[in-house]
Amino acid sequence: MATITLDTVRKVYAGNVEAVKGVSIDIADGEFIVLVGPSGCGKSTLLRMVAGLEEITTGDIRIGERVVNNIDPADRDIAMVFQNYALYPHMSVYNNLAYGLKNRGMNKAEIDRRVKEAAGILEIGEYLDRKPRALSGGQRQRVAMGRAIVREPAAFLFDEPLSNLDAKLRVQMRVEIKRLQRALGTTSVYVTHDQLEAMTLADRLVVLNGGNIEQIGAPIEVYDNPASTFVASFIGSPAMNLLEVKANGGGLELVSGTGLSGANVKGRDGYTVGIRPEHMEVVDGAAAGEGITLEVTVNVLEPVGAESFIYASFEEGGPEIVVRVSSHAVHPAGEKLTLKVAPEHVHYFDAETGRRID
Amino acid sequence: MWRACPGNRKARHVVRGEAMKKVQFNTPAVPYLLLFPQLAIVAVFFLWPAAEAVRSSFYLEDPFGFGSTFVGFDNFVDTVTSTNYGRVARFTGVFTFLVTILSLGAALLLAVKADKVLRGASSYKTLLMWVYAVAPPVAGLIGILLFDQHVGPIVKFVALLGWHLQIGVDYYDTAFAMIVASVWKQIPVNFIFFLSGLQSISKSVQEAASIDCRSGFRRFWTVTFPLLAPTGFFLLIINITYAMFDTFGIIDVVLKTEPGNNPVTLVYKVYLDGFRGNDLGGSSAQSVLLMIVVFILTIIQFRLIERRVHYT
Repeated sequence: MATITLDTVRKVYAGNVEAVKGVSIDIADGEFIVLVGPSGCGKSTLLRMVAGLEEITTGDIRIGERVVNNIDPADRDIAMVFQNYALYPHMSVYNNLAYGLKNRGMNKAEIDRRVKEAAGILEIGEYLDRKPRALSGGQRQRVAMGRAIVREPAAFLFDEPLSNLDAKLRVQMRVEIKRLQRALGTTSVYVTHDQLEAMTLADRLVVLNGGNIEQIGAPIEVYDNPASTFVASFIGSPAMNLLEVKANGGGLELVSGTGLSGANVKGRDGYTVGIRPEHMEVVDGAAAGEGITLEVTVNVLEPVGAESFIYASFEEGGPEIVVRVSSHAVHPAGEKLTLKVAPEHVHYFDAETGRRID
Repeated sequence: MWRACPGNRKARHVVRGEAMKKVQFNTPAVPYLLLFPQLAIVAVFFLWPAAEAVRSSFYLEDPFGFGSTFVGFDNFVDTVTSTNYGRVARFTGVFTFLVTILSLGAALLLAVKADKVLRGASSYKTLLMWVYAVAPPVAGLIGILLFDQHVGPIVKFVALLGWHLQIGVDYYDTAFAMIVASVWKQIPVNFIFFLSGLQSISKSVQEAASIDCRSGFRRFWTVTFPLLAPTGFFLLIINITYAMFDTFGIIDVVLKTEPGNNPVTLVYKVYLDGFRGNDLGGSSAQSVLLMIVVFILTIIQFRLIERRVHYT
């Protein structure tokens, strides 16, 4: 159990490629932190620096009170779960779990107790004599988890551990990882590019983009108040609708000239307006009340079972927006719709920097 | 190399778990036609000479080619009971053991080090592989130059340490020169295989090991080395065959075709007895014995490689 502190950590690769540009995060003891972002955002590099598999160019990483910059991975008291499991192919499952403990000179009885206990928790007891190649993907994943658990480390580091599993197993293992982490109370850093995984697992999300932190916060906080257009479009599925608008007298209008009645003008020339698909309501005619009213034409209705999504645009060939409606709504292509958005559900971003304007 | 190749191909199939591609031919003659060149080569360059060797091992040939007499197993009895044959067989054993161990060991060390080189890795590796392109007699010649009695740098160097090397005169000094030249010639082949073996070990497995184990030395013996074992075993067989059979050129150049009392291997003795001593029958008997050795080695290789665990 330990806190992990990253203090303006930078990583510059040969050829002056800056992968991580001065990231600072304070991770509390027992917290589950998820680093999320598109590929190339520096999230894996950051995790590998915590593990000690990558050199830190500048800045400090502390695990507990100790600065670990120059400490060997084996001495950092961390355990890592790799994307491709990285099990030792020539060792039995038992020895895969026991290897790290043996190397620390732990006595056999204690090793046996820990391995059996972890195998019990993960339900891999009956495979202990098998070699990894005789296991399925899900079982290998459990062995990889077991190898992390037996060490009883100060922190778990997960590097996209579920991305090699099929969709069904992924959901199952996601739930299990969360349950396990809650039960053990071990500080965890988890890297993923999957925003759903990030939302469901994290105590706090760290959204990374191009080596910088875009936003840190609880998942629902990030979802409700995205700090930038990047976060707005990355977190949530389908993504938030982002519309480029410009000021026109007292109101706003789309770049194409279509007016947005009821928009709240904030004294600038250009904005990006963000509206989540679930926050638009189909209304009859120009209904009263505050908020933005949008006039659109339906392009496609996409039923997904529990709900349906309408893809609609303001004018032919113009920007398309996604609207979430109930699963039984019927809206044929070509139908004109009026959509209403409550003012508290309209997000404003600076057109130039993409940062949120409150 | 030729002898071990089929085993290698087999091993690769096991590793990747590939299914053989099946092709159907309309006429049954086509596959035989396609196989014909290979079969012809095997027949002309292997089966026929081998059969000829087996036949003449049972005959006493007249040295001037006037006739031959059937002598049954006499040639084999003479060969096996001669003290000289025992001496040569023992030397071949020691020679093979040392050449195999030293060339594998040196190549593994170089490969492990080369695997860690980050800057200029490719030119470094190319330099190490260069020797591979040198023909065995040329390797022997370079060896001769290095071990030359008057100008050889190795001779001069060990003389500083008080060892006066006399190649071609002293039995052990000559053996030493042969072993050094043979090892030097074989290192690049082993190096290439070991290096590709090392590079096929998953990087994340090595990283997982670095989290699990502090000592790099221990990590090498518990993770890297076992994962290299299939490569190592394959190379072991290759190297034994190399040391026993393919060092002929090096030995010939070191001895300058004047064997005298100097060490020779069994293969070289076949040549000496047959073509210098004109004892074709005895020489054939020896080569039949060697064929049996190759046969046994091949069986061991096939059986063990098949049983051997291959990691995916």
